[in-house]
Parts: sequence; C-alpha cells; structure tokens
Amino acid sequence: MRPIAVSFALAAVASWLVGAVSPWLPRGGLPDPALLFAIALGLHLPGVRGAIAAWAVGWQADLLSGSPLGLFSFTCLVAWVAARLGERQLALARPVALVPFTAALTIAQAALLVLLDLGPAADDPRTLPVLVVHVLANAIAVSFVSRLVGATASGADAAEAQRSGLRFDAGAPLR
Amino acid sequence: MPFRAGVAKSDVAPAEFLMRELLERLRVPLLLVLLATLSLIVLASDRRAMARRADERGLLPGILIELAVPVQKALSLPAELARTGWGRYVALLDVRSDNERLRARIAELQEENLQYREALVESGRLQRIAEMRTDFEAPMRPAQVVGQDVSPWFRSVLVDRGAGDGVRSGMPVVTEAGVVGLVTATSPHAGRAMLLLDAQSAVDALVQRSRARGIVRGDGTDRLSFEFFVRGDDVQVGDIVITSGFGGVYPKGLRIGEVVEVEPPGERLLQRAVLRPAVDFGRLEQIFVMLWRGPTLDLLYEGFGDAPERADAQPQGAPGS
Repeated sequence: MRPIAVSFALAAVASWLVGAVSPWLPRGGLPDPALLFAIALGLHLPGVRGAIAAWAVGWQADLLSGSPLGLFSFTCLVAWVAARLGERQLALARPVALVPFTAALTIAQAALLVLLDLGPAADDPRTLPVLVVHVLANAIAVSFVSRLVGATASGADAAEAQRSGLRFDAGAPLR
Repeated sequence: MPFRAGVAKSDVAPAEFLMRELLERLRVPLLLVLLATLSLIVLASDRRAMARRADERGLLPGILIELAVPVQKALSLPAELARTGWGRYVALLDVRSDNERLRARIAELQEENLQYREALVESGRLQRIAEMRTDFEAPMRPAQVVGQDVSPWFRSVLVDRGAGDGVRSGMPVVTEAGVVGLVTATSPHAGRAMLLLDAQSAVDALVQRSRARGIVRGDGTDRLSFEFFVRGDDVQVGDIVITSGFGGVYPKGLRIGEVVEVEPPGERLLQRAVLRPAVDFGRLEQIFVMLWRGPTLDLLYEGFGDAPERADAQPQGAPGS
C-alpha cells in the first residue's frame, strides 16, 4: 500500500503545484502530472499495485480537472500498460527512449480528446502551439518524475518489484 | 467405481494447481480490464450527463468531488498563507500614502456621484433605472475558488459551494468584473464551474454600442472568440460585449469582454472578432454564483427533477427571458 499512497500523495502535490503556477505560464507550458506519474509507475511499479496506483493517480486528475470523470483514470491506466509493455521492448529506462515515448503518449492523449470532442479543437490553429509546448513540458519533466517514482518504489516489496507485471503470453510451461 | 474415483482424485491436484497458476498469471490483466471498465462506465455516464446538461453528480463522483474541496484547501493553505502574509506586510508599508490617496479619491467620487444623481433625477430616468436594477438583481452566493484545472485542455474551477448552499448546475457564475462561466456540476458542498474560456462554452452576446449580435465562444486559450451573425455589423476594436439574454442561460447585460481585434471576413459566413475577457481568469479567487437559472436550462433541468426553489432562484421579471 505504501508505494500507492506515496505515489498518490506525490501526484497530488505535483497537481497542486501545476494548478498554482499555471496562471503565470503559457497554456500547456506545465507538464501533466497524472500522465507522467502513470508512465513512471509503469517503469518502476509493476503488478497489481502499479495498476491501482496509476488508476488512482488518474482519478485524482479527473477530480482536479473539468474533464468528464473517468477520462484521465482510463488514459493513465492505458499509459501504465503502454509503459509496462514498452519497458523491455523499448528499453524505456534510457532517457533517449523515454522522452519520445512520453511525447508520443501526450500526443495520443490529445488525439483521444479531439476524437471525444473534448478540449482541444483539431481545426483551431492555436491548438498546435499549446500541444507542442505541452509535449515539450512533459518530455522535459518525465525523467525527473521517473527518478522520483523510482526512488519511492525502491522501498517496495522486493518480490513484487521483481515479478513481471504483465504476462499476456501463455507460452511458458506451467510445470 | 474405485478406478474412476482414483482417477478423479489424482486429477484434482493438477487442476487446482493449473487454476491457481492461471489466476496468478491473469491477475493483473483481469484487474486492468476491471479498472478500465469501471473508468469507461463512469466516463460514459458522465458524458451522457454533460450532453443533456443535467449533471448533478451521482453518488460516487459526488463523494469524489466532495473530497476534492478539503484536499485542495489543505494543499493550497501554505501558499495562501505565504501570499496573504506577504501581501499584508507589503500593504502595511504603503498604508499611510494609500489612506491619503483614497481619502482624496473618495471626495472626488462623492462629488462625481452627486453630479450623476442630479443629472439622472433631472432627466427623469432615476426611477426607471431603479426598477431595472430590481429586475436584474438575483440572489448571489459568494464562493471561493479552491482548485484550478490541471489539464491544459479544460478550463474549469472547483468552488467551495454546492447543492447544500442552493447552487445548482446551470447557474451563472460572475465577479464584479463580468461573467466567469456556468456551474456544470455540484455535490452537497462543492461545485465545478466551466469557464467562458473552455472550448465547450458558448454564450449568446451583443455589442453594447451597436447591438450587433453573435456568439462568444471559448477556444481553450486566454482570449474569447466573438462570431457575429451579419457580416456588415458594426463591430470595432474597443467595443464592449455583453450577454444578450437570448440564449436563456445568462441574464442580459453582464459584461463578457472587450473587442481587441476584428478579423477580416474573408470567405466565412460569420465574421469573427477576438475579445479580451472582462474577468482576469488567471487571478480568480472570490466569485459569486447567481442563484438564478435561465428559462432554457430551467426547462431542461425541471425535466430531471432538479428545479431550484422558486423564491430563491427565479426573481421577478427574470432577466434575460
């Protein structure tokens, strides 16, 4: 429970900071704490605890945003799964892989909002600059958040931390 | 029979082991499916509510919003204390000069006020203005902004007044400067207001000077877009845009913003102007919820059994209707 609670508390503080600083910065100029924490949790906290933590962080973003409830909890869960799947295949521990991965997820999230007709308007020329700034902000902040969550999760149960979080393949023999 | 029993007995352990192993392997995927389904169910129900604009929150989302207010208040307390403490200290430094300046200003304003009163009495309009003022008055509930939107794609604020204070979805939110937005969700002690800047916001409006009519839309940025219906309409930079009351959502005459740019019409059917909002959305702290709901929204909400108490929420000569 400790990593979940600590992640939730850290994400809450990050969200509060973003909410407090946002009036003084250009739109989109601050990172999306929920998305970054979900990605970082995917890298550092596998298993049931990681999934629940990412989902809880998403719920928190739902509460602090004008989005329909459930939207960010869903996208954070998807981001966590993507990070788990990409952790080994893309070697996301390296910043050179993590940064573009985060940028891609940020764009995918914005695309989902456009598809749902929420928030950004695809035909508005002002959407693109906001998206670009937001992608940059997320890309810059993701390594820091990842290290923060990594340090938090290092105290987690070793057995749980070593277990592979997602095993969709059933190829390994059972006995 | 003994042979069959023997076979069954020997099969039990591997089957149990198999099942346990399978559950162990599928534990996380099953949890993911469960959590994702739960999120999508809440998202779908919330979207439906938004679509029909009748979204007093259900039990679970209501509890979550209720919890957000004390959490946000607690989180913002240190910054608030530092800000007010610093503000008071700085204010003390200038208090003497401010007092002198304000006394002079009060004297000026009293004189000015007297002149205006005289002029109004002379023209016989004072009574009419007093009547109009009565017509436009609706009970106001002060509220504190406790949370800003953390997503760059949505523009909303969380306030510390909810259904328990008479606040209902569809009620306008204002400050002394002008329109802030609309209450879109409430729980017993908290509410969420969508700002005019939100991409989903649209207000029927008119130019105060020329009475040119159009729609003010948010586009997610810090400016508003004013699309007016007739291409030849007289809209100039510096014009003040107010609510028209035609949409049946906001009372007539509330200030929305000032025209800062009129875009050339080009090929478009509607001409467009850019507005600077009257309200400084970056510095929202204290707002007022008008305990009044326009006829359009009232009709919608009454269908969902959410009629506000008439005495409070529908003053005589409802503005904007």
